[in-house]
Amino acid sequence: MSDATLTGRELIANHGRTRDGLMPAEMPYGTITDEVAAAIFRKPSRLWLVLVGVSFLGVILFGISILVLLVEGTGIWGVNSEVVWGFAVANYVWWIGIGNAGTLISCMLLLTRQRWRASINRYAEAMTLFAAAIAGIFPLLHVGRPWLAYWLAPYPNTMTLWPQWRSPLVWDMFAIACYILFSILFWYTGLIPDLATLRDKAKHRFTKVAYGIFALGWNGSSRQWKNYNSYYYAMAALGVPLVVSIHSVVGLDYAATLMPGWQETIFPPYFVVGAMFSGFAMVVTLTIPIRWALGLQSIITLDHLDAMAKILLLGGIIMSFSYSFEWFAGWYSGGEAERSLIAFQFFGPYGWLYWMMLACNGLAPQLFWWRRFRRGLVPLFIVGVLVNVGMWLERILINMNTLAHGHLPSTFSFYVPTIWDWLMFLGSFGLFCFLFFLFAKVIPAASIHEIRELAHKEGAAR
Amino acid sequence: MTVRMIMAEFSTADALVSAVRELVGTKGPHRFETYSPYALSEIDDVLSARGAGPSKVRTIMVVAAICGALAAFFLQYWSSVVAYPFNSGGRPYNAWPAFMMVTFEITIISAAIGGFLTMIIGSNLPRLNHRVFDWEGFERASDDRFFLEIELRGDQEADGEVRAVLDRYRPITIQERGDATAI
Repeated sequence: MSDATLTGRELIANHGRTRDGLMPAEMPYGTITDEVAAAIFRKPSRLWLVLVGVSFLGVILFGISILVLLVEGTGIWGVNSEVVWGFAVANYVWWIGIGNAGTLISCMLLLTRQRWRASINRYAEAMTLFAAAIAGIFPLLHVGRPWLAYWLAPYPNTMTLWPQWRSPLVWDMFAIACYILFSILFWYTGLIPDLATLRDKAKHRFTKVAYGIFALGWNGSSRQWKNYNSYYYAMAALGVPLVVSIHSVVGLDYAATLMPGWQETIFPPYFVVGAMFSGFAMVVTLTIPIRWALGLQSIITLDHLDAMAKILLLGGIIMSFSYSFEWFAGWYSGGEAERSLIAFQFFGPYGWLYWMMLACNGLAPQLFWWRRFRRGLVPLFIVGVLVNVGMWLERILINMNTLAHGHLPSTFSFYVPTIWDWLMFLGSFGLFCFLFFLFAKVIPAASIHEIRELAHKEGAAR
Repeated sequence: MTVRMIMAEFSTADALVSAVRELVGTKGPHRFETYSPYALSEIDDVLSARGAGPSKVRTIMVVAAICGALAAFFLQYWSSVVAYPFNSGGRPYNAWPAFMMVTFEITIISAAIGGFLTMIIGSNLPRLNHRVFDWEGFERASDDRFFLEIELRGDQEADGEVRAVLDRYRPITIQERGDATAI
């Protein structure tokens, strides 16, 4: 039997792996195309249909919670006159953090020529896009009257009013809008050559035309590749500072206030690292089921997971440092409000959540000092989920602790999320999963043309 | 006027690259284009050695970035100094350091949009069809085959040399046809 008809797994059995373990030692271009495209042209499995169905229930839930919010107003949430930032803001910060990581991962790995990137960048970018889009919904809902959101935009109006350009909240609006647009362009550009592959591989006329339209007529000429590479690398170079600026602005939303625990210069970088950390955790959490469900074990290998686990370990260490720096800054400032807030974080009513967050973000990744855990799917998945939980706790605790324990003891209050807070959070998760499952079925989950290039460089294909 | 075109299909990138290297050394020079399932930097090297300039994408991106930055800054400056001066805690109207965030975001997104449009238009896209798709078996150019399309000059000697070069690298197929438009 010729190599062209074997699957990736059979090729590994016959030829072993390349020296760095990233792919089978012999892997013809045709096999690469088939391995990735097969998941798309196969009939949808029952499991996939069930997953899409279940996540669609989440989408319905999200729709209902939004509808109730619009009818009843923000009173359905647990926010009160002191703790004015609740779940909506925490969810926004959490989702945009996850959303930042995909582009950051993709750009940084491209610029530093990490060759294992080709297998994970596509769905990391898809994750970015969906997470950033969901993140964008929350501030709109948070303001309570989303139909007036256009007031944030600078446009000539009869009241001759203009936005307050000195406010981080206005910066934030621009940051999110630009970021979503940028992510779409970056993701779509990388997709064009693969859409052309799907166009040429599709059997049915409808799929052929559909992929053909989105492939824009790509034919792979040297002229097109030259323009493509020139643009794609430039975008990667722009993506890194953009991502850093986005989450720095989110950090400034907090740091520009006068509240204890928020007014800290460390916030922008601390938020950026937190975003990278939670995003990587989400990539790990998504990778494990994806490579299993789509049968991509020969393309997404244990070495990929190992590399990601090391980054999680680094992230966990930097986060632990940031937390301890917060405690130090609180104590060193000498301010009564700052010091009492630190004590409140550890021993107040939300203390158990704070300890849990420290365990999830600081302690759990320490497992990855051991190679056995970095290469074990179960520990990787569990730590990935724990870090996601920990980072979400961090986002909600930043809001709750500071606002419930501000400068004036008479305004100390307590925030308890209501059922609508929870349903909306759950619903946003449903929307994310729904979009992601659709994506996995319609668009190649790994960048086919970059894997071909990698195969050529590694000597697996000629 | 029709142009004679020849299309060779190779199974490896190395064969295509070697054929192109040899082709540029022949009497001619012949106009040609390659089609491959991934980017071949070697082809770019051959083309730039022959005098092809770099892609215009990044030049346009820089221009778009500068225009975006100026527009974003002047929108903020004009609206907070001229159109709607608003005294917030005695801070200056022209609070330029605070204007830098929005300026930065708009700079990046302008470069991204300008570059995208240049990449698409500069590659003669988007289009619904192209004469190159009429070649037999061309759909594998996006899968595992490497194509070299050459415009013949109608000069027996030079064209014979092209055929000889192609034969040497053992293409899987060679096709020839008359086309209404050139490469």
